[in-house]
Amino acid sequence: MSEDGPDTPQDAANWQPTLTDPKASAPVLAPCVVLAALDTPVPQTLHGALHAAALSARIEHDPAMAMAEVCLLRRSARQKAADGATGEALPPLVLLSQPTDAAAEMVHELERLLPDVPVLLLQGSQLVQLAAASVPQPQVDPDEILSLLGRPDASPRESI
Amino acid sequence: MSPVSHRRTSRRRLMTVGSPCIEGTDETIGQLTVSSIFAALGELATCSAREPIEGIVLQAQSTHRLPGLLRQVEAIRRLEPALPIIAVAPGLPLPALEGQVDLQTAPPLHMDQIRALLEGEAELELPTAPVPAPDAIGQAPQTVPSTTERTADALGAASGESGRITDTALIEALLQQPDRFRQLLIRSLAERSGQPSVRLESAAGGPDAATVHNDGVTFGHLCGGDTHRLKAWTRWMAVWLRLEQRLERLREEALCDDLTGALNRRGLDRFLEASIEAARSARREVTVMVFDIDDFKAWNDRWGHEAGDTILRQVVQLLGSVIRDGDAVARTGGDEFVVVFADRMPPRTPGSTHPDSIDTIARRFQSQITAMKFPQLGLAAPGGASISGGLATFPWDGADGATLIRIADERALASKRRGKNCLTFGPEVVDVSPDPPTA
Repeated sequence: MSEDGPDTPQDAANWQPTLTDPKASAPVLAPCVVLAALDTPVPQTLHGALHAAALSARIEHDPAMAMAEVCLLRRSARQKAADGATGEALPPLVLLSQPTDAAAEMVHELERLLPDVPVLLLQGSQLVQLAAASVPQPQVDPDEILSLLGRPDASPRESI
Repeated sequence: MSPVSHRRTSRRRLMTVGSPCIEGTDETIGQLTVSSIFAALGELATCSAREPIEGIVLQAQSTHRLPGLLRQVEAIRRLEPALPIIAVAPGLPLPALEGQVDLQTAPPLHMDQIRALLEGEAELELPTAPVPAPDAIGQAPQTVPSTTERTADALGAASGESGRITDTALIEALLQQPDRFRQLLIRSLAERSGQPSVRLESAAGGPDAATVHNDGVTFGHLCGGDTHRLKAWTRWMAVWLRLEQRLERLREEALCDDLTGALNRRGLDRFLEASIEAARSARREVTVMVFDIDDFKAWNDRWGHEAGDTILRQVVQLLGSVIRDGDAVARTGGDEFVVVFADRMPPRTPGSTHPDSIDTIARRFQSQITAMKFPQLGLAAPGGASISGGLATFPWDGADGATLIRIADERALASKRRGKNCLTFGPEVVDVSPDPPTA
């Protein structure tokens, strides 16, 4: 008798289906957000790297959408943790290359406001933690901002 | 990049992305300014439930930057779908942003607009103005109203008599002056669509008519303007008319008896109060007749409740054919009815009375109900029922509805004591039918 079912009529008479949960042996994949430029193909090595890290990718092409997705996944993970779930890791953000411009700004704000969210970088076939220092800061000229805003103090602020 | 300061003194907070752009202040609304959409998303993700961010202002330096602003809107919506979003950019409002943001305006943004938005003026389920064929971003809209206008409307006077007819004015008319609603709605459509001669007609002007329909109901056809333009407004119009229809149905359900369609007690009280008030100022009479069907219980017991219901419906139907415009029938109990004779036709000559005087009508009704047939009850069903009632008249018998009903009820009891099938018009005026039927 094969694993799939009875081969002969005799087998069929004695055959009992074996109830198995196909998900039982599969690893539980944690979600992550991959920021991938729309005009750049996703490296083949990404799938292997995500599989090795037991991550399921949600690919976003826009940094703002990627950040929103990370925030949503983080909120979900924290809610599950608050409900008593164990082993709920915070969802990482995966970058395919060193961030520049808007992506760099996003990573900067992510590290400032949501420092618990891991930011990973695909290097070869591996995911490595992105070193904060390695992220280039957005090139902003303070004088330019001041002239645009037309006010002496351009720093973000809160007021009543 | 400078961090956001965390001096928080208010629970309600509004977050602005970019430079501050709000004119005016409100003590109840704290403001938080952040430098980028990423900072805004981070703040939204980490703000405490005790100090929620209740709205966000997104800005663009010019209409050419609106695609970027729309991407920001999409990101905010992904994280906080219900968060009110205000877009500020030169050249706004634009159709391209209609439905995407809750408020769009050219700078400066006023705190009054924000307050109206946060306090729910713009959160009403208002019919949404149509979005015409996609205009190029940056092109000013010609006729389509925007959320900004709607909110500005809500801030303004809601009279609608002078100037623009606001959504608020339409809702007020719908609730308080339903007779005036259609007129206002058409005027508002004329203003908003730029079609001053637009009208709603029941018959289509042609195969290409702008038909106003919703949920399988056709309300009519928009005529008297550019059909192509008017077609964009049919859904807007249909939503308002559906609201009107639903409200009318609710009114009917609240004031009418389910079984017979006559007024219920609440409807009677309102109608009687209004009739007396009108009669008082016009120096007229209002007569109330209270009656019940003689031996109705015997009908019910012998022929069943279904037969009883049939009789009740037929009685109301018969009454409806006898009374005049301006009179009303109410069912106040099982087989107890009140008829309000509030004829508002002016007398033909001073001192004269309407040719169909109350006693004539009451007697006509009494004789017709005696002759009534009930074929639904089968061949063995007896013909005709009888009623016993009493009448009371404003101002002679009472100055208010409750008094009139009480006196008429007492006279109806007196009719019962006199052997049924009898109407009592006053202390000394009794009219007894000669042939009382039997159930």
